[in-house]
Amino acid sequence: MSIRVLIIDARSERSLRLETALAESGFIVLDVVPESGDVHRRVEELKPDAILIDSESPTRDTLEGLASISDRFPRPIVLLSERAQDNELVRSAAQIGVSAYVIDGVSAPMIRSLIEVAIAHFDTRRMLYAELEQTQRALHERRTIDQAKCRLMETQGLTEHEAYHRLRRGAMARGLKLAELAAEMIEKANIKGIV
Amino acid sequence: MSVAIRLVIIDARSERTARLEGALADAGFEVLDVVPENGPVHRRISELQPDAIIIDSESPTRDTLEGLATVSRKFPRPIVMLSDRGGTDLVRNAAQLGISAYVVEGMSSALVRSLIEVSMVHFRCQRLLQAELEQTQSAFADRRCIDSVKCLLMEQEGMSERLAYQTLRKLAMDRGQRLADVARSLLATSTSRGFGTGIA
Repeated sequence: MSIRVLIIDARSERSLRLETALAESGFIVLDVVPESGDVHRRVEELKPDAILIDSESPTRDTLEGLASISDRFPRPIVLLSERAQDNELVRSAAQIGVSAYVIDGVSAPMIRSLIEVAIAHFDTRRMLYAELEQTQRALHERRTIDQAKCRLMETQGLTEHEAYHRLRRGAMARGLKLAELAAEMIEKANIKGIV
Repeated sequence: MSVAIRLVIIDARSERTARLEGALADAGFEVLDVVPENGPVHRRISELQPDAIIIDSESPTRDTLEGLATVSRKFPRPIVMLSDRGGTDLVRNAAQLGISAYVVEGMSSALVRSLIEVSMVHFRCQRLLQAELEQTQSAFADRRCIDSVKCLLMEQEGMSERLAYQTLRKLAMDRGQRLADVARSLLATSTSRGFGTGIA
């Protein structure tokens, strides 16, 4: 399937070189939006697979604009510029997920590889983030469930097995997740404890 | 100016690599060595401990890529592949192995520098995330063990949760071990009848 790309044009003179190169290497260019245009709206409407910024020499402002796009609508972003940038800029770009490259010419296979690599990096990171979030959530839920389980064991004299099944049945009966019921129980118990 | 980034180039053909070496030196990198593709790649990388590895290859084979993936498992480093032919499958295969594969014809030092910088920053971010993930996973595993033992103590020794926890903590302090390690060793020796170690 073709990769759908949105180009942000931050050059002083309109250039077709990127569009041509992208079309040659089999990408679909959804739109070319000027940097000063309504970039956010177009990104949200078009949902591109990747975003490309064509710039002569990007500024902090350019980067900040990109950061706010990637906050609201995370996508692989490739920043192309002609002039060498200071390393600081490349690094802070990378930290917000923008791959910043200094290109001396536009060749279709090169642009293609830059985008492919950016997408691969983006996917790797997103996968890791998702796994991290899931593990953090599981850890948090486990803590809550254990707390509730121990409380049942203490107050009702149940075994661990019995306490767990009581929680499970209670959660099922009310269509809640185990961790949700556990959290509710602990909250109630805490209120009682204070009073 | 910060310390120069140290690179090892893995080379599959020489005339272009000479140009690449020049471009990298111009861009302020330090090239530690150029190792032929079929040379002692693993050994040199482990000896030199470069900050990044560059593969310069006309069209690297799947074998070369997999070899590098092996290297990167042993010595995790950002790996940048430069080739002048654009097989898309190649780029994608490389990406799956954690290698940033670029198709470049020219060898401007600004371009090469930006390719390496981007890959290095990406590598660092990825490593940080991975470390955080591993840490959370092991916290989860620890939690499981501690909770199992705590519940066993509550069931079999009739302890309150608080007492069970304190008992475990004291044991850990006495043995100079982590709480989770104590829990693990207790789980390993516990039977359905109890711990049999008189810890209660």
